Amino acid sequence: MGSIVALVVIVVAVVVLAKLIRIVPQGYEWTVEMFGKYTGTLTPGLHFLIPFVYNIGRKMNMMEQVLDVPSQDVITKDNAVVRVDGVVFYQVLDAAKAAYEVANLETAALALIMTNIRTVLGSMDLDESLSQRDAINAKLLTVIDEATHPWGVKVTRIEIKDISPPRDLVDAMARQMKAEREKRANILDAEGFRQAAILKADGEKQSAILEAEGKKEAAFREAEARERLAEAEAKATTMVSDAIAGGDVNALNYFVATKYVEALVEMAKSPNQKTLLLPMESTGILGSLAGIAELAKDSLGSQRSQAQVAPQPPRTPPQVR
Amino acid sequence: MHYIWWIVALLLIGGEVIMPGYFMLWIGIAAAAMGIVLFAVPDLGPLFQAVLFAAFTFVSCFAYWKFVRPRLARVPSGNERLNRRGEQLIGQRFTLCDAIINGRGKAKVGDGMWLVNGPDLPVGATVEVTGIDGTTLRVKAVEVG
Repeated sequence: MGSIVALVVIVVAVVVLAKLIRIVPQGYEWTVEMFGKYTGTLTPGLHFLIPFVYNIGRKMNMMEQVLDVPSQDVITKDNAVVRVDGVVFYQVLDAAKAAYEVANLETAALALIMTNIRTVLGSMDLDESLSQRDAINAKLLTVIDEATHPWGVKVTRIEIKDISPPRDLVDAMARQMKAEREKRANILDAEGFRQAAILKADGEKQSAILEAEGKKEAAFREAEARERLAEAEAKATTMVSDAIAGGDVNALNYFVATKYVEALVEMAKSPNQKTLLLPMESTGILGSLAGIAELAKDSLGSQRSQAQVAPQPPRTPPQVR
Repeated sequence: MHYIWWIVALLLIGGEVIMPGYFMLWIGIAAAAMGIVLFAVPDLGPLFQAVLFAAFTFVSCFAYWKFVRPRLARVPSGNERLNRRGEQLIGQRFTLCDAIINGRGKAKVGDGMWLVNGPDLPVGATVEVTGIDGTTLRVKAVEVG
């Protein structure tokens, strides 16, 4: 009997000692309750608590913790339904508040964050929500940090992990992007053609102008040449007429006759000309002969008139008719 | 009979070395004391031995708490602020991003914001952290420059 009681005494002593000594690991804080009422917080290390009177309440994790925000469907301002999930980092700064001010810290924080994500995204257009993650994160952090403040919790970071619109919307966005690119390509194409056409037309205009200018210049020059030619002819005529005026008209006849005969000779010499066609009036030539005769007669007459004694010139060849 | 207590004492102290918990140590010391007592007074009843053992247990523990622990002067290890995010900010200076009105405002710390408690100051003022209440920083105004 005595030994059983002894055993009980030893067991009770060991249990009481175990309750007396408390070792709080680093990274945790334990709240202490005196008859169920919070009285203090145990920091990491060795502590002695009077058994029966003091009790350990909650063991709070004081390390920064990560909470996954489950994905949820959110309707944006322009009525697009997107799936959103995220991640939250928080740290308990006040163990007592976190233990007693809120019943279930994680659930409460998650509910708060999920509703706030809906609020923030609901006030944004889809395009905005996709491109302004930073703004969303900052907005969420401000609201939630304030809201969790009474719980002794500091929300250090909220990140939206993924915003995924439904499949057909993604396809439409891809199509829109493609169309945008194609539009740009087409505009560039057309602009290129326009530029090319302008350049070509400009070149043609330039070439036409140059050509016309060339023609004009040529015409001017030609006219000038003709003028000069006419001038020269006029001069030559003047000189001839001067010469005639100064001399005898018969000199002219002589020249014409010579040329006539020379021309006839040329015709006759022509190697491929067996038949000699005389398109001119043969009598004209003969007339010129008559002119020669006249010429001779004249000169003889004048000689005779100068010297009456001059012998009779040979008779002119009889006229062939 | 006393050698049983010796064996128990050695086992407990050895166990403490293997699994530190500041728990078996004092029981071991008590058991060793019982060994000495039984060596001197061999014929004690088991109930009396048990009560004496329990008493020794608490005496050894109390003795540590009363006499030994205060001497292990807690050297500030520099890690005192580990896991205490707010206290790590004490003495640092930050810029207000929300004016302090009626004693409450916000300061920009890193890329986040902390609620601050202090004298009314406009946005952009520089403040120095003097302490922390829960998740609120206590600040005072500082003159820059």
